[in-house]
Amino acid sequence: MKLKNFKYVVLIGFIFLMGCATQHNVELADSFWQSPNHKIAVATTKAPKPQIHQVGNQGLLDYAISSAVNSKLDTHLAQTDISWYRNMPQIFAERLQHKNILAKPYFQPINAKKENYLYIMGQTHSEKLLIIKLEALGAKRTYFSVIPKEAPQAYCEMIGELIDMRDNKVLWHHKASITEPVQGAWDQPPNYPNLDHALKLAINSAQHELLDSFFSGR
Amino acid sequence: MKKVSLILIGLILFLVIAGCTPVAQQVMPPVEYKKAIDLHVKKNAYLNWEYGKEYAGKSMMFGPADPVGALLVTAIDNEAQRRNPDHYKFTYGKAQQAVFMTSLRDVLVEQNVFKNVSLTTASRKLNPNDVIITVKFRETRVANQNEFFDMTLNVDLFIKTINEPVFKRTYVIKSSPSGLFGRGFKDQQTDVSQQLLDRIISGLSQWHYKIN
Repeated sequence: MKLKNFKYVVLIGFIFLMGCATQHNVELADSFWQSPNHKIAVATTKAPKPQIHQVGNQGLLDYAISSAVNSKLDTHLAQTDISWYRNMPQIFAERLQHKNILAKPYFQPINAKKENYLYIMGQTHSEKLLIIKLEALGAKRTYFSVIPKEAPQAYCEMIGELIDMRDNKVLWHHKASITEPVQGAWDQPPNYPNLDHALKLAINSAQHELLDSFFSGR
Repeated sequence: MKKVSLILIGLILFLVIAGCTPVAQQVMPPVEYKKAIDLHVKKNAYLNWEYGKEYAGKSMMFGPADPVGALLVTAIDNEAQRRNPDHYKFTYGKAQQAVFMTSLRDVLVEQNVFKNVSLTTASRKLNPNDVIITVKFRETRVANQNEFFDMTLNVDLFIKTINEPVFKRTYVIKSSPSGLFGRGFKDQQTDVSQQLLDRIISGLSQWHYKIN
């Protein structure tokens, strides 16, 4: 095969394989609940800054212009209370303890790195890590160039993962990606009450989805 | 080289045209259960269905990157959606849930899981020979067309019999990974419905194991 054709084949192959690169959801097997002798540490990663997420067909200049237009909303979202996120290890640990599983919450948010995970294992004398990651929080708005397609929607994306640190096997993985439309007018500076209410609903839905997925069928 | 270029161009054109075509909501076919169910209960089963919140996904026109084109496309799209909103909204709503409940009933009847199986919409008085199975679609979400109509179902299963505590399970069903080109709305409905049916059958087995 000629070198030029081979490059195209590699490019096409790369495009197809891109779809395989992401971590898919993994359901927690029934066997986990049948043998309750687990020692689990529950932790969270460091929270990202709440902000507006612009998606759609935009160039760099378009993005810069729409970011400038959204600056008031962005400033407001940055002040979003995330104390609920710091409580998540406690919530999961209590639910696990209720099922007679030894679970310890670890309240210091960490960077999602293996050495940090191993450090927590050592500190809590655990063999499994239940890690909650807040990936995105704030609002999401679709754009065509600088034109907004629709009103912003409240947005919360979290990932939950249970890892057996003895062999690095992922026993459970779930991504909750929630968008919540704003009821009524959204553009209410400086406090954006309707958007805040939608954001609370989105956070609530994401938390419940992670909990329901983990304890699903139990 | 020419052939490979033609294939690439054709692929890109296909993707672009697919993005321009409004997608009509498609009716969900009945859900099947092809495995044998090793569960037979000498009671009359009543299937009760409750629906909750629905979050709709939308089909979207392909948006150009220049401001003038984007303004025009947005105006046309918004007007089209205003005139015919149902054509652009996609939900796992009452229509899909009704098909699912009917399919669940048919599967339980075909496999003789209970003495009798019927659908009920009203709360009924529980008799010693009755089982009331409630499927509550607490929340259903459908993502937009650009996210391949990915679906999430939050469903509660309640099984009630006399003299036993209510058996409850909660299921979070997400549509399976659909690859680079994604799955259409009809196929996503079928995918999540199949997963939910599998989980409910498993839930019934767990319930029966628990009470015996």
